[in-house]
Amino acid sequence: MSDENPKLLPESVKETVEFWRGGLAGGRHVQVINFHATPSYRRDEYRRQLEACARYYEPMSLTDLDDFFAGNWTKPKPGLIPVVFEGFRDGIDVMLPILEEFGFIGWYFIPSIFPGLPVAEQRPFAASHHLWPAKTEEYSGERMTLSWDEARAIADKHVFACHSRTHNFITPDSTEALLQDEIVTSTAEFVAGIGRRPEVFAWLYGTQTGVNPRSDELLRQQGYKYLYSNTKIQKLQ
Amino acid sequence: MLSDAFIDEVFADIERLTSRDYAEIGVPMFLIAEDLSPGAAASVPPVSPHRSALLGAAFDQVWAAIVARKPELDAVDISRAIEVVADRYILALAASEFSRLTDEPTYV
Repeated sequence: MSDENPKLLPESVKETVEFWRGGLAGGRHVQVINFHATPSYRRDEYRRQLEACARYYEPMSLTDLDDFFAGNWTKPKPGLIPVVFEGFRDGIDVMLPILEEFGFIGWYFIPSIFPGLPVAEQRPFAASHHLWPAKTEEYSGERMTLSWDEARAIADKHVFACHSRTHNFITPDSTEALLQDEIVTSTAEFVAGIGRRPEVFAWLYGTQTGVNPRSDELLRQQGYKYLYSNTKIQKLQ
Repeated sequence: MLSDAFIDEVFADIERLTSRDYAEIGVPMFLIAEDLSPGAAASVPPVSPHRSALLGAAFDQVWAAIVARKPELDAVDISRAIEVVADRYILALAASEFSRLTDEPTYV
């Protein structure tokens, strides 16, 4: 995997700033908190943050996001999406109880190949695919990912989203083979793992639509409704 | 016209925020909702117009501070601006009006 910084934004800096100005001032923004590894030694910190957020924000399901896009938000407070990237095991062991304590719906973004890897392969894979676990290892010698069984058990209450297959990114020149693997194969692995089709997708580095039109086409063909990027939540269909 | 103190504070916030261990912290962000579906409305209606106006103004000020000190701007600078705005205001701007504290909490 290359460390090259990929092109994330199809627009110029000026256009992007105008987009942000208009989006924030126009109220077209969604509040999110992005988590990755969530080790137990930071449990109190996460708890304080989500406790504070719970005073001002409502949980946000996929249906709630649909309502927001449609202009039909009826909850008394705005919505907040706590996102837990990567599929690390501490997202279940540490973060899930906190989310549930404060009534939030977690959005778990998982590279589809990761939970199915044998334990002995998980750490080398993570190290070579930009998957950074907690600095202090808490599961030494054990699996470091959540399991599909754990995901399936909470999939009615929380959102599970596809984070490509191998935690990869795209560029304008990404090959058809890469796109097939990272979009089509990952979707099939996701369905096999969790028993339902994911409706939300995110690339490594949060690439939005417009960077690679074939990627946009495949995401729609695979039934994805939303693309989660660094700057936007884009409703695809 | 932004004061030097305001600009200094923005850059101090950027330094403080970017020195954290992103791999294991919660990072608040605002994401813009963009509807690309066929037949979509031109824009998503605002939930709270006055809060949105304040947020837009806050972004303008932070971005102006960055522009004032950085001759070359790129996408990373925009991300930094948003990160500062989100960190400062995700809780502050969501608080209820003083007068509403006598009632059940309500946002709209």
